[in-house]
Amino acid sequence: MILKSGYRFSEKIMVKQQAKAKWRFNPIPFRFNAAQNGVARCAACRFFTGAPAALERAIPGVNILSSTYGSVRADTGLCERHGVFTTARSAACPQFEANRR
Amino acid sequence: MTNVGSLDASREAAKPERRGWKELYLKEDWWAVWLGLALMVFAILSFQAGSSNIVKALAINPGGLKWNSFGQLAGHFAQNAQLYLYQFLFWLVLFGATTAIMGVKLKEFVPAFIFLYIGALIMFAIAGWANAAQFNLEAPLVALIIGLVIANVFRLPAWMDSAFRVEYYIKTGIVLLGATFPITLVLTAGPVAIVQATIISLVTCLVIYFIGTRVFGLEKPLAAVMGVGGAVCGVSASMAIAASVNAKKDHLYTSVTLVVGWALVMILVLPFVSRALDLPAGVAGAWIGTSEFADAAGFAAATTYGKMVGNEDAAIKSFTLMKVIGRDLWIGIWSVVFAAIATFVWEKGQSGRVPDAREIWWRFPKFVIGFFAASILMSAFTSGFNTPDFNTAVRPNVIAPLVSLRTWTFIFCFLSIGLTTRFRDLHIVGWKAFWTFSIGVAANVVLGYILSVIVFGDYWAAIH
Repeated sequence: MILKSGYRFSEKIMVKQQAKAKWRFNPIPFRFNAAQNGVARCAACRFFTGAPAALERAIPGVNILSSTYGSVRADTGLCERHGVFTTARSAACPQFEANRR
Repeated sequence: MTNVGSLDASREAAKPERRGWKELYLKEDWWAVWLGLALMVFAILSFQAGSSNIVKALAINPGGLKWNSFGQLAGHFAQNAQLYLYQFLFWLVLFGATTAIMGVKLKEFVPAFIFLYIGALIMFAIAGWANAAQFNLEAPLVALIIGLVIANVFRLPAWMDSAFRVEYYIKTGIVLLGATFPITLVLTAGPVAIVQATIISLVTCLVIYFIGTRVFGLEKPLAAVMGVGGAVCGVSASMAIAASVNAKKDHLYTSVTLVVGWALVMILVLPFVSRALDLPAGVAGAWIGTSEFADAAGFAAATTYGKMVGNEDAAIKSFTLMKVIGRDLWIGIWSVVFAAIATFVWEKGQSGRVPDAREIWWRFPKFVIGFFAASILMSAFTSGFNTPDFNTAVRPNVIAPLVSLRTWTFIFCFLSIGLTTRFRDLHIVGWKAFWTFSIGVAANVVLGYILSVIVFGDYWAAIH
Protein backbone atom coordinates (compact mmCIF):
# COMPACT_ATOMS: atom_id res chain seq x y z
CA MET A 1 0.00 0.00 0.00
CA ILE A 2 1.47 3.38 -0.97
CA LEU A 3 0.79 6.06 1.57
CA LYS A 4 -0.44 9.25 -0.01
CA SER A 5 1.22 12.42 1.10
CA GLY A 6 -0.30 15.80 0.43
CA TYR A 7 2.70 16.68 -1.76
CA ARG A 8 2.39 14.14 -4.51
CA PHE A 9 2.11 15.88 -7.85
CA SER A 10 -0.65 13.67 -9.23
CA GLU A 11 -2.69 14.12 -6.09
CA LYS A 12 -2.49 17.90 -6.38
CA ILE A 13 -3.80 17.68 -9.92
CA MET A 14 -6.67 15.50 -8.83
CA VAL A 15 -7.63 17.83 -6.02
CA LYS A 16 -7.85 20.67 -8.53
CA GLN A 17 -9.82 18.56 -10.94
CA GLN A 18 -12.32 17.61 -8.27
CA ALA A 19 -12.77 21.24 -7.31
CA LYS A 20 -13.55 22.12 -10.94
CA ALA A 21 -15.77 19.13 -11.56
CA LYS A 22 -19.48 19.70 -11.75
CA TRP A 23 -22.11 17.17 -10.87
CA ARG A 24 -22.21 14.42 -13.42
CA PHE A 25 -24.32 11.41 -13.98
CA ASN A 26 -22.78 8.33 -12.38
CA PRO A 27 -23.86 5.14 -14.15
CA ILE A 28 -22.71 2.97 -11.25
CA PRO A 29 -25.01 3.41 -8.26
CA PHE A 30 -23.28 3.97 -4.97
CA ARG A 31 -24.83 0.94 -3.39
CA PHE A 32 -22.53 -1.42 -5.29
CA ASN A 33 -19.36 0.55 -4.84
CA ALA A 34 -16.67 -0.95 -2.63
CA ALA A 35 -16.42 2.00 -0.35
CA GLN A 36 -19.02 4.51 0.66
CA ASN A 37 -18.39 7.36 3.03
CA GLY A 38 -15.01 5.90 3.89
CA VAL A 39 -16.42 2.58 5.08
CA ALA A 40 -15.36 -0.73 3.54
CA ARG A 41 -18.21 -2.83 2.20
CA CYS A 42 -18.76 -6.57 2.08
CA ALA A 43 -18.55 -6.41 -1.72
CA ALA A 44 -14.79 -5.96 -1.47
CA CYS A 45 -14.25 -8.78 1.01
CA ARG A 46 -12.73 -12.05 -0.08
CA PHE A 47 -15.21 -14.01 2.03
CA PHE A 48 -18.18 -12.54 0.19
CA THR A 49 -19.84 -14.64 -2.54
CA GLY A 50 -22.06 -12.49 -4.70
CA ALA A 51 -21.68 -13.95 -8.20
CA PRO A 52 -24.91 -15.72 -9.28
CA ALA A 53 -23.28 -18.95 -10.46
CA ALA A 54 -21.16 -19.22 -7.32
CA LEU A 55 -24.22 -18.64 -5.15
CA GLU A 56 -26.17 -21.39 -6.92
CA ARG A 57 -23.28 -23.76 -6.28
CA ALA A 58 -23.12 -22.66 -2.65
CA ILE A 59 -26.84 -23.19 -2.02
CA PRO A 60 -28.01 -26.36 -3.78
CA GLY A 61 -31.71 -26.20 -4.58
CA VAL A 62 -31.96 -22.44 -4.74
CA ASN A 63 -32.45 -22.58 -8.51
CA ILE A 64 -35.41 -25.01 -8.39
CA LEU A 65 -38.08 -22.36 -8.02
CA SER A 66 -35.93 -19.29 -7.97
CA SER A 67 -32.82 -17.79 -9.47
CA THR A 68 -29.77 -15.94 -8.32
CA TYR A 69 -29.81 -14.04 -11.61
CA GLY A 70 -33.10 -12.29 -10.77
CA SER A 71 -33.77 -8.74 -9.64
CA VAL A 72 -35.26 -9.87 -6.35
CA ARG A 73 -31.88 -11.06 -5.09
CA ALA A 74 -30.45 -7.60 -5.80
CA ASP A 75 -26.98 -7.63 -4.20
CA THR A 76 -27.63 -10.37 -1.66
CA GLY A 77 -24.65 -12.62 -1.18
CA LEU A 78 -23.20 -15.15 1.21
CA CYS A 79 -20.53 -14.31 3.78
CA GLU A 80 -18.49 -17.53 3.90
CA ARG A 81 -16.62 -16.25 6.97
CA HIS A 82 -19.73 -16.11 9.16
CA GLY A 83 -22.05 -18.36 7.14
CA VAL A 84 -24.70 -15.65 6.91
CA PHE A 85 -26.45 -13.81 4.12
CA THR A 86 -25.79 -10.15 3.71
CA THR A 87 -25.75 -7.49 1.04
CA ALA A 88 -22.76 -6.34 -0.96
CA ARG A 89 -23.31 -2.82 0.37
CA SER A 90 -23.25 -3.81 4.05
CA ALA A 91 -20.50 -2.25 6.12
CA ALA A 92 -17.68 -4.75 6.52
CA CYS A 93 -17.08 -6.48 9.83
CA PRO A 94 -13.76 -6.56 11.76
CA GLN A 95 -12.85 -9.81 9.97
CA PHE A 96 -12.85 -8.04 6.59
CA GLU A 97 -10.11 -9.15 4.22
CA ALA A 98 -9.71 -7.41 0.91
CA ASN A 99 -10.47 -9.43 -2.15
CA ARG A 100 -7.27 -9.66 -4.19
CA ARG A 101 -8.66 -11.58 -7.14
CA MET B 1 -3.77 -8.64 5.33
CA THR B 2 -6.50 -7.97 7.81
CA ASN B 3 -8.01 -4.55 7.96
CA VAL B 4 -10.68 -3.28 10.26
CA GLY B 5 -13.05 -1.91 7.71
CA SER B 6 -10.58 0.59 6.36
CA LEU B 7 -11.11 2.56 3.21
CA ASP B 8 -7.59 1.85 1.99
CA ALA B 9 -8.24 -1.84 2.07
CA SER B 10 -11.19 -1.37 -0.20
CA ARG B 11 -9.23 0.83 -2.53
CA GLU B 12 -6.54 -1.76 -2.82
CA ALA B 13 -9.00 -4.54 -3.31
CA ALA B 14 -9.81 -5.84 -6.72
CA LYS B 15 -12.91 -4.29 -8.21
CA PRO B 16 -16.02 -5.67 -6.53
CA GLU B 17 -19.18 -6.65 -8.27
CA ARG B 18 -20.44 -3.45 -9.86
CA ARG B 19 -23.92 -3.19 -11.17
CA GLY B 20 -26.30 -0.30 -11.73
CA TRP B 21 -27.26 0.23 -15.34
CA LYS B 22 -25.50 -3.06 -16.03
CA GLU B 23 -28.50 -4.71 -14.42
CA LEU B 24 -30.27 -4.02 -17.68
CA TYR B 25 -28.24 -6.79 -19.28
CA LEU B 26 -27.01 -8.77 -16.27
CA LYS B 27 -30.35 -9.60 -14.63
CA GLU B 28 -32.71 -12.10 -16.17
CA ASP B 29 -35.73 -9.97 -15.24
CA TRP B 30 -34.62 -7.33 -17.71
CA TRP B 31 -33.77 -9.90 -20.36
CA ALA B 32 -37.24 -11.36 -19.98
CA VAL B 33 -38.62 -7.87 -20.60
CA TRP B 34 -36.44 -7.30 -23.69
CA LEU B 35 -37.16 -10.73 -25.16
CA GLY B 36 -40.89 -10.65 -24.49
CA LEU B 37 -41.36 -7.17 -25.89
CA ALA B 38 -39.11 -7.86 -28.89
CA LEU B 39 -41.13 -10.96 -29.78
CA MET B 40 -44.38 -9.03 -29.44
CA VAL B 41 -43.16 -6.14 -31.60
CA PHE B 42 -41.81 -8.64 -34.14
CA ALA B 43 -45.22 -10.32 -34.33
CA ILE B 44 -47.00 -6.99 -34.83
CA LEU B 45 -44.53 -5.74 -37.46
CA SER B 46 -44.69 -9.05 -39.33
CA PHE B 47 -48.48 -8.79 -39.33
CA GLN B 48 -48.39 -5.27 -40.69
CA ALA B 49 -45.88 -6.29 -43.35
CA GLY B 50 -48.12 -9.19 -44.33
CA SER B 51 -45.53 -11.80 -43.37
CA SER B 52 -47.07 -13.34 -40.28
CA ASN B 53 -46.16 -16.78 -41.58
CA ILE B 54 -42.65 -16.32 -40.17
CA VAL B 55 -43.97 -15.86 -36.63
CA LYS B 56 -46.49 -18.64 -37.05
CA ALA B 57 -43.74 -20.98 -38.26
CA LEU B 58 -41.53 -20.13 -35.28
CA ALA B 59 -44.44 -20.77 -32.93
CA ILE B 60 -45.22 -24.25 -34.23
CA ASN B 61 -45.97 -26.96 -31.67
CA PRO B 62 -47.67 -30.35 -31.77
CA GLY B 63 -49.85 -29.61 -28.72
CA GLY B 64 -53.00 -29.03 -30.73
CA LEU B 65 -52.50 -31.96 -33.09
CA LYS B 66 -54.97 -34.35 -31.37
CA TRP B 67 -53.19 -37.34 -32.89
CA ASN B 68 -54.57 -40.87 -32.61
CA SER B 69 -51.66 -42.90 -33.89
CA PHE B 70 -47.88 -42.69 -33.77
CA GLY B 71 -47.89 -42.64 -37.55
CA GLN B 72 -49.89 -39.44 -37.49
CA LEU B 73 -47.48 -37.89 -34.99
CA ALA B 74 -44.40 -39.04 -36.96
CA GLY B 75 -45.96 -37.63 -40.12
CA HIS B 76 -46.37 -34.24 -38.46
CA PHE B 77 -42.71 -34.15 -37.42
CA ALA B 78 -41.50 -35.40 -40.82
CA GLN B 79 -43.54 -32.77 -42.59
CA ASN B 80 -42.38 -29.95 -40.35
CA ALA B 81 -38.83 -31.07 -39.54
CA GLN B 82 -37.30 -27.96 -41.06
CA LEU B 83 -39.60 -25.65 -39.09
CA TYR B 84 -38.74 -27.40 -35.85
CA LEU B 85 -35.04 -27.05 -36.67
CA TYR B 86 -35.45 -23.31 -37.24
CA GLN B 87 -37.47 -23.04 -34.09
CA PHE B 88 -34.84 -24.87 -32.07
CA LEU B 89 -32.13 -22.55 -33.42
CA PHE B 90 -34.36 -19.56 -32.68
CA TRP B 91 -34.79 -20.48 -29.01
CA LEU B 92 -31.16 -21.57 -28.69
CA VAL B 93 -29.87 -18.25 -29.97
CA LEU B 94 -32.31 -16.19 -27.90
CA PHE B 95 -31.77 -17.95 -24.59
CA GLY B 96 -28.17 -19.03 -25.24
CA ALA B 97 -26.89 -15.58 -26.13
CA THR B 98 -28.71 -13.83 -23.31
CA THR B 99 -27.73 -16.30 -20.60
CA ALA B 100 -24.14 -16.16 -21.86
CA ILE B 101 -24.20 -12.39 -21.39
CA MET B 102 -25.44 -12.96 -17.85
CA GLY B 103 -22.47 -15.22 -17.19
CA VAL B 104 -23.72 -18.74 -17.90
CA LYS B 105 -21.20 -20.93 -19.73
CA LEU B 106 -22.32 -21.49 -23.31
CA LYS B 107 -20.54 -24.84 -23.58
CA GLU B 108 -22.75 -26.06 -20.73
CA PHE B 109 -25.90 -24.33 -21.91
CA VAL B 110 -25.98 -25.67 -25.48
CA PRO B 111 -26.00 -29.45 -24.82
CA ALA B 112 -28.36 -29.02 -21.88
CA PHE B 113 -30.73 -26.90 -23.94
CA ILE B 114 -30.78 -29.51 -26.71
CA PHE B 115 -31.90 -32.00 -24.05
CA LEU B 116 -34.50 -29.54 -22.74
CA TYR B 117 -35.88 -28.74 -26.19
CA ILE B 118 -36.28 -32.41 -27.10
CA GLY B 119 -37.95 -33.02 -23.73
CA ALA B 120 -40.34 -30.11 -24.34
CA LEU B 121 -41.22 -31.50 -27.77
CA ILE B 122 -42.08 -34.83 -26.15
CA MET B 123 -44.27 -33.05 -23.55
CA PHE B 124 -46.12 -31.20 -26.31
CA ALA B 125 -46.56 -34.46 -28.21
CA ILE B 126 -48.02 -36.18 -25.12
CA ALA B 127 -50.37 -33.24 -24.52
CA GLY B 128 -51.38 -33.39 -28.18
CA TRP B 129 -52.62 -36.97 -27.90
CA ALA B 130 -56.37 -37.13 -28.55
CA ASN B 131 -56.99 -39.03 -25.30
CA ALA B 132 -54.58 -37.06 -23.09
CA ALA B 133 -57.34 -35.23 -21.21
CA GLN B 134 -59.03 -38.52 -20.22
CA PHE B 135 -55.89 -39.55 -18.32
CA ASN B 136 -55.16 -36.06 -16.92
CA LEU B 137 -52.02 -35.91 -19.03
CA GLU B 138 -51.84 -32.15 -18.87
CA ALA B 139 -48.51 -30.84 -20.18
CA PRO B 140 -47.44 -29.07 -16.95
CA LEU B 141 -48.08 -32.14 -14.79
CA VAL B 142 -46.43 -34.52 -17.25
CA ALA B 143 -43.41 -32.24 -17.64
CA LEU B 144 -43.03 -31.91 -13.90
CA ILE B 145 -43.35 -35.61 -13.14
CA ILE B 146 -41.11 -36.79 -15.98
CA GLY B 147 -38.55 -34.13 -15.03
CA LEU B 148 -38.61 -35.28 -11.41
CA VAL B 149 -38.12 -38.91 -12.42
CA ILE B 150 -35.21 -38.10 -14.74
CA ALA B 151 -33.47 -35.86 -12.17
CA ASN B 152 -33.81 -38.31 -9.32
CA VAL B 153 -33.34 -41.64 -11.06
CA PHE B 154 -30.77 -40.92 -13.74
CA ARG B 155 -28.69 -38.29 -11.94
CA LEU B 156 -28.09 -35.67 -14.58
CA PRO B 157 -24.83 -33.75 -14.14
CA ALA B 158 -25.21 -30.50 -12.19
CA TRP B 159 -23.76 -28.40 -15.04
CA MET B 160 -26.92 -29.09 -17.04
CA ASP B 161 -28.73 -26.72 -14.70
CA SER B 162 -27.17 -23.99 -16.88
CA ALA B 163 -30.03 -24.46 -19.33
CA PHE B 164 -32.73 -25.42 -16.80
CA ARG B 165 -33.43 -21.81 -15.93
CA VAL B 166 -36.89 -22.09 -14.36
CA GLU B 167 -37.25 -18.42 -13.50
CA TYR B 168 -35.92 -17.02 -16.75
CA TYR B 169 -38.37 -19.04 -18.82
CA ILE B 170 -41.36 -18.23 -16.64
CA LYS B 171 -40.53 -14.52 -16.57
CA THR B 172 -40.25 -14.42 -20.36
CA GLY B 173 -43.56 -16.26 -20.53
CA ILE B 174 -45.18 -13.77 -18.17
CA VAL B 175 -44.11 -10.83 -20.35
CA LEU B 176 -45.54 -12.65 -23.38
CA LEU B 177 -48.66 -13.27 -21.34
CA GLY B 178 -48.97 -9.49 -20.95
CA ALA B 179 -49.41 -9.28 -24.72
CA THR B 180 -52.63 -11.28 -24.44
CA PHE B 181 -53.81 -9.61 -21.26
CA PRO B 182 -56.17 -6.64 -21.76
CA ILE B 183 -55.00 -3.66 -19.74
CA THR B 184 -58.64 -2.96 -18.86
CA LEU B 185 -58.73 -6.24 -16.95
CA VAL B 186 -55.63 -5.23 -14.98
CA LEU B 187 -57.25 -1.92 -14.11
CA THR B 188 -60.61 -3.40 -13.07
CA ALA B 189 -59.49 -6.53 -11.23
CA GLY B 190 -56.06 -5.31 -10.11
CA PRO B 191 -57.28 -3.47 -6.98
CA VAL B 192 -59.15 -6.57 -5.77
CA ALA B 193 -56.02 -8.63 -6.31
CA ILE B 194 -53.90 -6.16 -4.37
CA VAL B 195 -56.36 -6.08 -1.44
CA GLN B 196 -56.49 -9.89 -1.32
CA ALA B 197 -52.71 -10.15 -1.66
CA THR B 198 -52.19 -7.66 1.16
CA ILE B 199 -54.43 -9.62 3.51
CA ILE B 200 -52.85 -12.95 2.66
CA SER B 201 -49.30 -11.63 2.76
CA LEU B 202 -49.73 -10.07 6.20
CA VAL B 203 -51.62 -12.96 7.76
CA THR B 204 -49.42 -15.76 6.42
CA CYS B 205 -46.17 -14.03 7.29
CA LEU B 206 -47.29 -13.14 10.80
CA VAL B 207 -48.73 -16.62 11.45
CA ILE B 208 -45.47 -18.32 10.47
CA TYR B 209 -43.35 -15.79 12.31
CA PHE B 210 -45.26 -15.87 15.59
CA ILE B 211 -45.91 -19.62 15.56
CA GLY B 212 -42.22 -20.15 14.88
CA THR B 213 -40.85 -17.80 17.51
CA ARG B 214 -43.53 -17.97 20.23
CA VAL B 215 -44.72 -21.59 20.00
CA PHE B 216 -41.73 -23.51 18.68
CA GLY B 217 -38.96 -21.17 19.85
CA LEU B 218 -37.25 -20.90 16.47
CA GLU B 219 -34.61 -18.28 15.83
CA LYS B 220 -36.13 -15.01 14.67
CA PRO B 221 -34.21 -14.81 11.37
CA LEU B 222 -35.31 -18.35 10.47
CA ALA B 223 -38.93 -17.53 11.27
CA ALA B 224 -38.69 -14.34 9.20
CA VAL B 225 -37.15 -16.13 6.22
CA MET B 226 -39.83 -18.83 6.31
CA GLY B 227 -42.61 -16.32 6.95
CA VAL B 228 -41.89 -14.17 3.94
CA GLY B 229 -41.11 -17.24 1.83
CA GLY B 230 -44.57 -18.61 2.58
CA ALA B 231 -46.34 -15.27 2.29
CA VAL B 232 -44.85 -13.81 -0.85
CA CYS B 233 -42.95 -15.81 -3.41
CA GLY B 234 -41.07 -18.71 -1.95
CA VAL B 235 -37.34 -19.08 -2.40
CA SER B 236 -36.83 -15.69 -4.05
CA ALA B 237 -38.49 -13.90 -1.15
CA SER B 238 -36.57 -16.01 1.36
CA MET B 239 -33.31 -15.02 -0.33
CA ALA B 240 -34.24 -11.35 -0.22
CA ILE B 241 -35.19 -11.48 3.46
CA ALA B 242 -32.15 -13.60 4.36
CA ALA B 243 -29.93 -10.62 3.60
CA SER B 244 -32.18 -8.22 5.50
CA VAL B 245 -32.02 -10.23 8.73
CA ASN B 246 -28.52 -11.70 8.32
CA ALA B 247 -29.97 -15.20 8.22
CA LYS B 248 -27.63 -18.16 8.37
CA LYS B 249 -26.96 -20.40 5.41
CA ASP B 250 -28.95 -23.16 7.16
CA HIS B 251 -31.95 -20.88 7.48
CA LEU B 252 -32.19 -20.42 3.73
CA TYR B 253 -31.58 -24.13 3.16
CA THR B 254 -34.49 -24.90 5.46
CA SER B 255 -36.76 -22.47 3.68
CA VAL B 256 -35.73 -23.79 0.24
CA THR B 257 -36.59 -27.36 1.26
CA LEU B 258 -39.95 -26.44 2.77
CA VAL B 259 -40.97 -24.14 -0.06
CA VAL B 260 -39.98 -26.61 -2.77
CA GLY B 261 -41.65 -29.53 -0.97
CA TRP B 262 -44.94 -27.74 -0.36
CA ALA B 263 -44.93 -26.08 -3.79
CA LEU B 264 -44.67 -29.48 -5.46
CA VAL B 265 -47.45 -30.85 -3.28
CA MET B 266 -49.63 -27.85 -4.19
CA ILE B 267 -49.03 -28.29 -7.92
CA LEU B 268 -50.32 -31.83 -7.65
CA VAL B 269 -53.13 -31.22 -5.15
CA LEU B 270 -54.71 -27.80 -5.82
CA PRO B 271 -55.95 -28.49 -9.38
CA PHE B 272 -57.62 -31.74 -8.33
CA VAL B 273 -59.17 -30.22 -5.18
CA SER B 274 -60.43 -27.29 -7.26
CA ARG B 275 -61.96 -29.74 -9.68
CA ALA B 276 -63.58 -31.72 -6.86
CA LEU B 277 -65.07 -28.47 -5.58
CA ASP B 278 -66.17 -27.60 -9.12
CA LEU B 279 -64.65 -24.13 -8.92
CA PRO B 280 -64.85 -21.81 -11.92
CA ALA B 281 -61.48 -21.42 -13.64
CA GLY B 282 -61.11 -17.78 -12.60
CA VAL B 283 -61.83 -18.56 -8.95
CA ALA B 284 -59.45 -21.52 -8.89
CA GLY B 285 -56.74 -19.41 -10.52
CA ALA B 286 -57.12 -16.79 -7.78
CA TRP B 287 -57.01 -19.46 -5.07
CA ILE B 288 -53.89 -20.98 -6.57
CA GLY B 289 -52.39 -17.50 -6.86
CA THR B 290 -53.08 -16.92 -3.19
CA SER B 291 -51.80 -20.28 -2.01
CA GLU B 292 -48.83 -21.23 -4.20
CA PHE B 293 -45.40 -19.94 -3.25
CA ALA B 294 -43.54 -19.55 -6.51
CA ASP B 295 -44.63 -18.09 -9.84
CA ALA B 296 -43.39 -21.12 -11.78
CA ALA B 297 -45.15 -23.63 -9.52
CA GLY B 298 -48.33 -21.57 -9.52
CA PHE B 299 -48.43 -21.30 -13.29
CA ALA B 300 -48.02 -25.08 -13.48
CA ALA B 301 -51.02 -25.58 -11.17
CA ALA B 302 -53.18 -22.88 -12.79
CA THR B 303 -52.42 -24.10 -16.32
CA THR B 304 -53.20 -27.66 -15.30
CA TYR B 305 -56.56 -26.69 -13.86
CA GLY B 306 -57.35 -24.44 -16.82
CA LYS B 307 -56.70 -27.34 -19.20
CA MET B 308 -58.77 -29.67 -17.01
CA VAL B 309 -61.85 -27.48 -17.25
CA GLY B 310 -61.21 -26.18 -20.75
CA ASN B 311 -60.68 -22.57 -19.73
CA GLU B 312 -56.95 -22.08 -19.49
CA ASP B 313 -57.14 -18.35 -20.14
CA ALA B 314 -59.33 -17.55 -17.13
CA ALA B 315 -57.24 -19.63 -14.71
CA ILE B 316 -53.99 -18.07 -15.91
CA LYS B 317 -55.39 -14.54 -15.91
CA SER B 318 -56.73 -14.62 -12.37
CA PHE B 319 -53.59 -16.41 -11.15
CA THR B 320 -51.43 -13.70 -12.74
CA LEU B 321 -53.47 -10.89 -11.20
CA MET B 322 -53.31 -12.48 -7.78
CA LYS B 323 -49.73 -13.70 -7.69
CA VAL B 324 -47.68 -11.57 -10.07
CA ILE B 325 -49.48 -8.25 -9.63
CA GLY B 326 -50.67 -8.77 -6.06
CA ARG B 327 -48.28 -10.83 -3.97
CA ASP B 328 -44.92 -10.43 -5.71
CA LEU B 329 -44.89 -6.70 -5.09
CA TRP B 330 -44.57 -7.37 -1.36
CA ILE B 331 -40.99 -8.65 -1.54
CA GLY B 332 -39.31 -5.27 -1.31
CA ILE B 333 -41.69 -4.05 1.38
CA TRP B 334 -41.03 -7.04 3.63
CA SER B 335 -37.28 -6.67 3.01
CA VAL B 336 -37.31 -3.13 4.33
CA VAL B 337 -39.60 -3.97 7.25
CA PHE B 338 -37.50 -6.90 8.43
CA ALA B 339 -34.23 -5.01 7.84
CA ALA B 340 -35.60 -2.29 10.13
CA ILE B 341 -36.71 -4.82 12.75
CA ALA B 342 -33.37 -6.64 12.60
CA THR B 343 -31.36 -3.44 12.87
CA PHE B 344 -33.34 -1.50 15.43
CA VAL B 345 -34.89 -4.27 17.54
CA TRP B 346 -32.94 -7.51 17.32
CA GLU B 347 -29.39 -6.22 16.93
CA LYS B 348 -29.80 -2.62 17.99
CA GLY B 349 -27.64 -1.13 15.26
CA GLN B 350 -24.84 -3.70 15.37
CA SER B 351 -25.54 -5.32 12.02
CA GLY B 352 -23.65 -2.91 9.77
CA ARG B 353 -26.78 -2.41 7.69
CA VAL B 354 -29.11 0.51 7.40
CA PRO B 355 -32.69 -0.11 6.26
CA ASP B 356 -33.18 1.62 2.96
CA ALA B 357 -36.58 2.29 1.40
CA ARG B 358 -34.98 2.17 -2.04
CA GLU B 359 -34.72 -1.57 -1.53
CA ILE B 360 -38.38 -1.75 -2.56
CA TRP B 361 -37.27 -0.75 -6.05
CA TRP B 362 -33.99 -2.67 -6.05
CA ARG B 363 -35.81 -5.89 -5.23
CA PHE B 364 -38.83 -5.15 -7.38
CA PRO B 365 -39.41 -8.02 -9.84
CA LYS B 366 -38.71 -6.00 -12.98
CA PHE B 367 -40.34 -8.44 -15.38
CA VAL B 368 -43.68 -7.14 -14.07
CA ILE B 369 -42.83 -3.88 -15.88
CA GLY B 370 -42.54 -5.89 -19.09
CA PHE B 371 -45.90 -7.51 -18.39
CA PHE B 372 -47.58 -4.10 -18.04
CA ALA B 373 -45.74 -2.67 -21.06
CA ALA B 374 -46.78 -5.62 -23.23
CA SER B 375 -50.37 -5.34 -22.05
CA ILE B 376 -50.55 -1.60 -22.75
CA LEU B 377 -48.85 -1.85 -26.15
CA MET B 378 -50.99 -4.72 -27.36
CA SER B 379 -54.18 -3.10 -26.05
CA ALA B 380 -53.26 0.08 -27.94
CA PHE B 381 -52.53 -1.90 -31.10
CA THR B 382 -55.71 -3.97 -31.03
CA SER B 383 -57.91 -0.98 -30.19
CA GLY B 384 -57.65 0.01 -33.86
CA PHE B 385 -59.53 -3.12 -34.99
CA ASN B 386 -63.21 -3.90 -34.80
CA THR B 387 -64.27 -7.28 -33.39
CA PRO B 388 -64.67 -9.16 -36.71
CA ASP B 389 -61.26 -7.93 -37.97
CA PHE B 390 -59.68 -8.81 -34.65
CA ASN B 391 -61.09 -12.32 -34.72
CA THR B 392 -60.26 -13.05 -38.35
CA ALA B 393 -56.94 -11.23 -38.77
CA VAL B 394 -55.26 -10.23 -35.50
CA ARG B 395 -56.10 -13.25 -33.38
CA PRO B 396 -54.76 -15.96 -35.72
CA ASN B 397 -51.77 -13.97 -36.98
CA VAL B 398 -50.57 -12.13 -33.89
CA ILE B 399 -52.23 -13.37 -30.70
CA ALA B 400 -52.19 -17.12 -31.43
CA PRO B 401 -48.45 -17.25 -32.30
CA LEU B 402 -47.63 -15.26 -29.18
CA VAL B 403 -49.71 -17.66 -27.08
CA SER B 404 -47.82 -20.58 -28.61
CA LEU B 405 -44.44 -18.94 -27.93
CA ARG B 406 -45.56 -18.34 -24.35
CA THR B 407 -46.59 -21.98 -24.06
CA TRP B 408 -43.11 -23.01 -25.19
CA THR B 409 -41.47 -20.92 -22.46
CA PHE B 410 -43.89 -22.35 -19.91
CA ILE B 411 -43.10 -25.92 -20.94
CA PHE B 412 -39.36 -25.17 -20.74
CA CYS B 413 -40.05 -23.88 -17.24
CA PHE B 414 -42.23 -26.77 -16.03
CA LEU B 415 -39.74 -29.32 -17.32
CA SER B 416 -36.89 -27.39 -15.71
CA ILE B 417 -38.66 -27.47 -12.33
CA GLY B 418 -38.62 -31.27 -12.42
CA LEU B 419 -35.11 -31.51 -13.83
CA THR B 420 -33.59 -29.24 -11.16
CA THR B 421 -35.43 -30.82 -8.24
CA ARG B 422 -32.95 -33.34 -6.86
CA PHE B 423 -34.33 -34.46 -3.53
CA ARG B 424 -30.88 -35.60 -2.37
CA ASP B 425 -29.68 -31.97 -2.58
CA LEU B 426 -32.39 -30.69 -0.26
CA HIS B 427 -31.64 -29.99 3.36
CA ILE B 428 -32.96 -32.10 6.21
CA VAL B 429 -35.48 -29.97 8.06
CA GLY B 430 -36.22 -30.04 11.77
CA TRP B 431 -39.72 -30.86 12.98
CA LYS B 432 -40.23 -27.45 14.52
CA ALA B 433 -39.48 -25.68 11.25
CA PHE B 434 -41.61 -28.19 9.38
CA TRP B 435 -44.66 -27.70 11.58
CA THR B 436 -44.24 -23.95 11.69
CA PHE B 437 -44.23 -23.70 7.92
CA SER B 438 -46.98 -26.28 7.51
CA ILE B 439 -49.30 -24.40 9.85
CA GLY B 440 -48.59 -21.30 7.79
CA VAL B 441 -49.40 -23.21 4.62
CA ALA B 442 -52.69 -24.40 6.13
CA ALA B 443 -53.61 -20.86 7.16
CA ASN B 444 -52.67 -19.62 3.71
CA VAL B 445 -54.74 -22.22 1.87
CA VAL B 446 -57.83 -21.82 4.07
CA LEU B 447 -57.73 -18.02 4.05
CA GLY B 448 -57.00 -18.08 0.32
CA TYR B 449 -60.09 -20.22 -0.23
CA ILE B 450 -62.28 -17.91 1.87
CA LEU B 451 -61.05 -14.81 0.05
CA SER B 452 -61.07 -16.28 -3.46
CA VAL B 453 -64.32 -18.23 -3.26
CA ILE B 454 -66.49 -16.52 -0.66
CA VAL B 455 -65.38 -12.90 -0.27
CA PHE B 456 -64.21 -12.02 -3.79
CA GLY B 457 -65.67 -15.02 -5.62
CA ASP B 458 -67.90 -12.92 -7.87
CA TYR B 459 -64.96 -10.89 -9.14
CA TRP B 460 -62.83 -13.91 -9.96
CA ALA B 461 -65.70 -15.90 -11.48
CA ALA B 462 -66.33 -13.03 -13.92
CA ILE B 463 -62.86 -13.40 -15.46
CA HIS B 464 -62.91 -15.23 -18.78
